[in-house]
Amino acid sequence: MGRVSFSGVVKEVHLGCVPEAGVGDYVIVHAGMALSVLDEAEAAQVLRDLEQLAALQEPPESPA
Amino acid sequence: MKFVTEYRDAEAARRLAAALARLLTRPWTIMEVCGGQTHAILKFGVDQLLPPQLTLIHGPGCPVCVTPVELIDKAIEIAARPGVTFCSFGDMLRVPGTTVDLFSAKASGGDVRIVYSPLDALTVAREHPDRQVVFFAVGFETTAPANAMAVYQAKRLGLTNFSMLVAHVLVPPAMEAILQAPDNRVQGFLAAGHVCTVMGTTEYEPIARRYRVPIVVTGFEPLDILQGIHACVRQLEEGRAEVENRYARSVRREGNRQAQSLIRQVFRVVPRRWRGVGEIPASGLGLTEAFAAFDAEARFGIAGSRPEPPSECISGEILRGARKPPECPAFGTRCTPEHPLGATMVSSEGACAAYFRYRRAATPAMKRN
Repeated sequence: MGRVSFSGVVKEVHLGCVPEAGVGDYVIVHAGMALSVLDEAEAAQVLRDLEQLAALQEPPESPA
Repeated sequence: MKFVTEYRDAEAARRLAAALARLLTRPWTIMEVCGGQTHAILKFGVDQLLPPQLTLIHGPGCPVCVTPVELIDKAIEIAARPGVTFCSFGDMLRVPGTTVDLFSAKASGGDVRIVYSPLDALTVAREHPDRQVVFFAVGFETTAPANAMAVYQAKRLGLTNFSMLVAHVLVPPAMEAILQAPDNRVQGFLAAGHVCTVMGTTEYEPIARRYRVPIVVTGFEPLDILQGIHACVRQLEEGRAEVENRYARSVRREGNRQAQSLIRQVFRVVPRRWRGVGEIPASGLGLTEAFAAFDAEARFGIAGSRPEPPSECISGEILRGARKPPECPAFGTRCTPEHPLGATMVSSEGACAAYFRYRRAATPAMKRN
């Protein structure tokens, strides 16, 4: 079990399915069970992709 | 909050919607499978940003909504028994059974408790060895790891006063049922990001190929959803039908292997009846032989199927995306979250509840009042 803060509300969460989770990580939790550790690099990449997408005047030829 | 706020940026959403409009050359219809996404779409007005040729229809991804009346009736029957403590997620309590709901069972003296997690129900069982504690295991693949863990631990602890009324459902068979329906309008899917977090994305690949539909794994914030729609439309415009992961910060192609292994130990795939839809083969989870002792239906001697009672509720059509909530004559009048005719008006993931909460003023049924 681990302690997870949900915008300040701290709850005990089962970490049995995310053995890689460490202190300070962001996790996706459902019904008291952590399901994944957020990939911070991917999270930042999405926001960069969005900026590019919105800046384009024409749809790109191939998927990003 | 980090990883939430930045995905709600209104200006970025408007720019993305404009990019989407430039991409579109003809009408398309896309279904978001997950009820969590339906609520986000209506709450943030994502649908109102979209070009008019693009139609979003709401899918069956609300586990509370698809739980058949027979299981609600069984829950009420178990909850009314002496010596039973019946634990459930809060949404289930107001869902109407044939005659009453679980709240009524509680009001009549049943020990019905709302829990946040099946693991909390397990704690209740450990603290009250004199009570038979039953958990109503409702959910899609996302909830399966927590439910599996509760049963797994109950067995390890040798608990004889814990059992589960299992109403688990699976997403891919429901998507196939929608695609096979003669009145199907769905041309592309936004797949549920948290279901895929658990199960990965490989099981969607044969569906995308067989039915020629793009399936885009999508998150739950407004920008996630717009990006999922953009990716889906781009595939449609380019004539592609692939599985694409647009929620990579949580979803890996192989999913969460620990969670899958836990699910496989505790649950097996079974046929399941869906409320308003009927039985779908291999579309649910039941307990495996090794954990059969924790099956509440067997423990309380109430196994077996019962006919679905007739109802004015059109939730079957809502769940298949055939009709939208405001098209129901009872919407907002004879059917409200406080006095619902069906589960889609109750659940925090139900499409009718989302329209009632976020779009009431705009619907014809309410204008008449």
